[in-house]
Amino acid sequence: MKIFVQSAAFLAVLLGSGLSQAATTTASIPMGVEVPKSCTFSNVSTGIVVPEDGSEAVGNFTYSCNMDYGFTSSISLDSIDQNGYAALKNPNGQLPISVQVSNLTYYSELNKNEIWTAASGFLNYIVNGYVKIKLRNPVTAITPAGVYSDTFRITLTY
Amino acid sequence: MKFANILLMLILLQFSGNIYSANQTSSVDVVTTIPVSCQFSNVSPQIIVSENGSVSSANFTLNCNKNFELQFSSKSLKDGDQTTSVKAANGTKLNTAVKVNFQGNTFELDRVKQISVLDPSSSELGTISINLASPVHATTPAGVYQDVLYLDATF
Repeated sequence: MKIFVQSAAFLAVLLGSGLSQAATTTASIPMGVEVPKSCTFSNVSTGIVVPEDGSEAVGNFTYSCNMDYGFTSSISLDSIDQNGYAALKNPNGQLPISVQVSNLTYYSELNKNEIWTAASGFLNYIVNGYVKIKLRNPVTAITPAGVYSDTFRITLTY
Repeated sequence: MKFANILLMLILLQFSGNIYSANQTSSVDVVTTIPVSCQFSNVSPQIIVSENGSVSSANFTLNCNKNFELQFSSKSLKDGDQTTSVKAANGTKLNTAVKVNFQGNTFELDRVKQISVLDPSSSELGTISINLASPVHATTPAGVYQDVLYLDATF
C-alpha cells in the first residue's frame, strides 16, 4: 500500500511537471532579395553636328547609378591618339578638334581617354554631363568636301 | 499438543493446495509516458523575394501531439518596425507583405500574431507568401536586403 501511494505520488509529480512547463520549438526562414547594381543613361544626344566655322557644339548625356560608390565612368573618343590628338575623319582627310568634357564632378580638356572612379556620395546622383567639341581650325575653301566623323563614348562599369 | 496441531494444519494446507485448483494473478502496471512535443519539418531553407513584386512562397510542416499556440513574427517586426520589411546592411528598407496560411486560414503579418490550435492533426502544413510592397526600380539602392520569419510553437 505504501509502495502504491509512493508510485501514485511519483506519477502525479511526473504528470504535474509535464503540464506546468510549456515548451517552445522554433523554426526560422531567412527571406531576402538582392537588388542588382545598375546604371541608367538618359537624355543622350543622338548626334553632335560640329559647325564648320570653328564654333562650339555641345552634346549632352545624363546617367545615374543605384550605388553610392564603386563604379567607374570612362570617356573616350575613337580618334584620340596617345599624343592627345583628336580629329573628325573621313577617307579623304581629317579635321583636328578640341574636346572638353564634364563628367561626374570633373571638367577637363580631353587629351586622352579618361577613367573616373566614383567615390562615395553617388547613390542615385544624377550626372548631367556634356561634351563640347569644336574644330581647331575653321573649314576653308580647300578643305576636301565630305562627311567627317568621330565617336564619343561613355562607358559605365560597375 | 500444540505442536501436533500446527503440524496437522500444515499437512491440511499442503493437501488443500494439491486438491483444489486456484488462479493466482499477479499484476504489473506498465506505463509509458509519451512526451508532449511539437516538431517542425520540411521547413524551406529560405525565400528568395522577387524584385518585381510578385509573390514568392515557402512551406513548413508542424507536428504536435497536443494543443499548441503558434506565433508568427519576423525580425523586422521584432526590431520594432510597423510593417514587415527586408533591410540592407546600411538600414535601407523595402516594405514587404507577408502572409501565412495555416489550417485553412490566412494570417497577414502586419504585426506579431499568435494563434491557438486546439485540435491539431498529426501534421499541419503551412505556407508562407511574401512580396515586395513596391517593385524594385532603377533608383532602388543596390544591395542584399534580408528579413527572417520566425515560427514559434508553444505547447
